[in-house]
Amino acid sequence: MTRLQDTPFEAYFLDGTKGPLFGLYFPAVGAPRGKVLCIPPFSEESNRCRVMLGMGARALAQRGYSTLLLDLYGTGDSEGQFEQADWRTWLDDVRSGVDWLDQQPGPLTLWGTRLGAILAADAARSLGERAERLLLWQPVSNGKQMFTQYLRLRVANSLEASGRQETTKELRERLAAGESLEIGGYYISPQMAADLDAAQLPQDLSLPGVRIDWLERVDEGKSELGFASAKLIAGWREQGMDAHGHPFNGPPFWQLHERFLAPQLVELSCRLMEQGA
Amino acid sequence: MSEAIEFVKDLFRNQLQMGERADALTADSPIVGAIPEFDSVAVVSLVTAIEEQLGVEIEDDEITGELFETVGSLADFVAEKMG
Repeated sequence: MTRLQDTPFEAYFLDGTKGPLFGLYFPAVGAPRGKVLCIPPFSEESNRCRVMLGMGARALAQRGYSTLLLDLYGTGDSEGQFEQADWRTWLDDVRSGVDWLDQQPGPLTLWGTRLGAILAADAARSLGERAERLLLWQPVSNGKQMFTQYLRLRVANSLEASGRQETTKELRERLAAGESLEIGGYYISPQMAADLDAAQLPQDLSLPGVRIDWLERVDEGKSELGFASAKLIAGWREQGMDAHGHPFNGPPFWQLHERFLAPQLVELSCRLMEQGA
Repeated sequence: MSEAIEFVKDLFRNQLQMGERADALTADSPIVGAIPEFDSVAVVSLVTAIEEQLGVEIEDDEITGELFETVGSLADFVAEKMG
């Protein structure tokens, strides 16, 4: 078997609706078993996750899953400025990635990390039967809550500055009034703010026939998912959905500045993919 | 109070992956400017973890420089939130 770091990959520019999208493609090593589209997290988190997503993509390719890591419009090496991006464009990007993978054999998995999990679920709804599985890493279930935390980066940045502090409420009001705001090095447009506030994994998410694997970090020594996640998944199962929660131990790499790896998450993901295949 | 200190040390251990360096923290240990992992993302992740683990809400105006001055100042805040 090829060493993980030696897994072959190719760089491509795909046709997106608003311009070229950059993708790293890891073709299946050996007999192909399926295809995976990786949908990254929001803004700075996507940088912090980059190494882990690369590790996941390599491991999946080694198990026979052709995997495409896609930079969404306005991010990474894809066309556009972050400020011009919105949810609709990103959903189109997911579809472009799916279309690009179309020629590969086997079932399609949408692999969404953090906010990418909501994009994956939204995309799966519009893709109908084309997406058979969702593989979700540390999903954000409530975009509004995530955006409040994101706005807090700006509050946290001014910790040492003197004078009155901004509040997330004021920042939201400025966005609602049509102003773009710089937060953590990214320009957030009023449209993006509204889109994030509306994004969620709803209790009435209806994805019949789609297997959902939800992987969530728990502290060492614990084995239960967070209360809100467990409740959401239980609700989905009651509605007959094929949804499963899986805890993993490891560092919260999506929020750490230093490079930390969570190999247990990668291994668990590969095992789940093989199980359900 | 010692319960709150342990809570804060656990936060640093788990949220910031400080490992054994978290064991050595005391109430007098400075945070801002002293712990390299402590950036704005870290502030937000700590605040979020406190909210989630204690089931409380933290207001924006409670997130101040004084709060993150030392492990002790953060523990005082946590103790207050623990009720």
